[in-house]
Amino acid sequence: MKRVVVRLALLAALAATLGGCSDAIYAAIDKAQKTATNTLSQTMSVFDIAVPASGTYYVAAGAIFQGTLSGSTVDWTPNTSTTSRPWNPTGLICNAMTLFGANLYGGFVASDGTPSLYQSSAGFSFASGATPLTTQTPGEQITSLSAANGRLFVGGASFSSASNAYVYQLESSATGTAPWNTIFSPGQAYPFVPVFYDGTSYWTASNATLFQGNAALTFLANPAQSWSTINGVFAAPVGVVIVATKSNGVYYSLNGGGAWTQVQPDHQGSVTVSYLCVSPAIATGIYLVGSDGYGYYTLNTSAGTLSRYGDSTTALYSASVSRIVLDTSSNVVLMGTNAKGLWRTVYDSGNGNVPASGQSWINE
Amino acid sequence: MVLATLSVPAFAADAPAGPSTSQYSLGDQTMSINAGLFLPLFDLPSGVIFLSGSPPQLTPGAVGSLSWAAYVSPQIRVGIDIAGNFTLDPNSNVLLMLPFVAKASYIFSFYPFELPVTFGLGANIVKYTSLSTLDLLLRPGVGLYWIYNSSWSFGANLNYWFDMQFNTTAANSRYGSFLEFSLSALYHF
Repeated sequence: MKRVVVRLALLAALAATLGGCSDAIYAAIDKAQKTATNTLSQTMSVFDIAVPASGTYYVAAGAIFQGTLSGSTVDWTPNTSTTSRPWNPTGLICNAMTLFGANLYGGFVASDGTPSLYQSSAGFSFASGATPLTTQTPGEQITSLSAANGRLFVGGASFSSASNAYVYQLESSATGTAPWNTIFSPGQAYPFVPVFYDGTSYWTASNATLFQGNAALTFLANPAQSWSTINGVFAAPVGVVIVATKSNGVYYSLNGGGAWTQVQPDHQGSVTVSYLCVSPAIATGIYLVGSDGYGYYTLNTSAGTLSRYGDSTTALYSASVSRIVLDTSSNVVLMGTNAKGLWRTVYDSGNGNVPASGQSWINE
Repeated sequence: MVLATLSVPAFAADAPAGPSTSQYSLGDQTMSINAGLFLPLFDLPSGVIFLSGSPPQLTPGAVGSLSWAAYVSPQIRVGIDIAGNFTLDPNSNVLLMLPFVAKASYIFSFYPFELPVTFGLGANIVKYTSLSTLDLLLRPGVGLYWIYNSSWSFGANLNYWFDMQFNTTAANSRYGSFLEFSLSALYHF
């Protein structure tokens, strides 16, 4: 009997020792924070985020969710129900959204695949009082919506019978309605990322091609460098253009694309970005860069470093990040992911720490 | 179990020959069922007190277990048990533990009471949201039982759980401390 029990004890200890190197549950519990009463699904995919006012957030994830910051929590409406979509036009799901002027603009798709572009009502609802702008949307899919330098840019897709594949185009409008300026038609073989304006030029990208546009919206491909695998471009308000590549770290320019600096990540491997998202400046020279499966990186253009977020106790550590948006009045950063929900934390605009001291990431 | 405890007679039905002599010997076996309160204490080395704060990092929870043991001498029995417990985090996410423990007890007899001092070692399956792990668990404890008759005893256990959760990133390794207080019905056969 003794022998049996001793063997069982040794077996249990061995199993625990071998299996113990797994998830850090207590470390996660140490940092657990109370979230609001109405929370979001922690496994939803976030396509877009808009911040029309400080502490007011809209998230496009099929349904549109509206959140209100109160103290340290955000209360979300609707809650996790996918059948209640009070902000969506009836029967449509939202896959793109941006704030332009005083309205939100949403890209929607119906169950039969028909796309539509909507301008929200003054209350940011697409359900009632919204203006459908479908005639201004070419093709069969809206892939990106962005506002830059007083223009609304719509990235779309259409099916080409000649090539038997989708081709992508880009249009813009100074008013959010007609007339629309067609920039690329037919376009590239890959979707256009959101357009950004650095004070002098417009920037966008379509997979391996970087585009720089002038005031007349004439875009030049690969303006300064031959890019192997560009997945996006971002121009921050301070005039810093950042480009992330799929396998060669991150490139950034501090002089409007005149010269580029490459920086590699601080861990083995390379930054992989499926659909680039970069935050506006957190602090001077500090940006967040979303990756495909490695969470996010902090780019410090002063130090020339690219540091991976290192808390492996959170699901954000291995997330594919689709959007990073700041609420600068509240020092809140919102990060949308693919199938790992929406994340929120408070940043320090002084030293650029994300999260700020004493804060942690909350999976909304 | 509580009703059973309250309904038993005030004096043991089967008195042994001597006041401090165990009435059990090699080969005798026991089965017990236990249920009670599970209190999260603290986490090391982070120093987080689980019950502090509003809401706390972990709430008080419940624990239950089934146990088997066999006497290897009149004062010592060895065995195993399978337990389950849960507590809740600030967002009502469940922290679930399912340990299986090998244990040895030295039993002090003060008829009609017994006081087993137990040391357990085992593996602890821990689940929390989408996370899971297998930990090494040390579980010393003490109990106090009233011997109703030669077959049944009723009492309570106070066990300290020291759950060692190792992680490949050393900074994420933690040692969680918990306290179990459970009522018990123990059957001899």
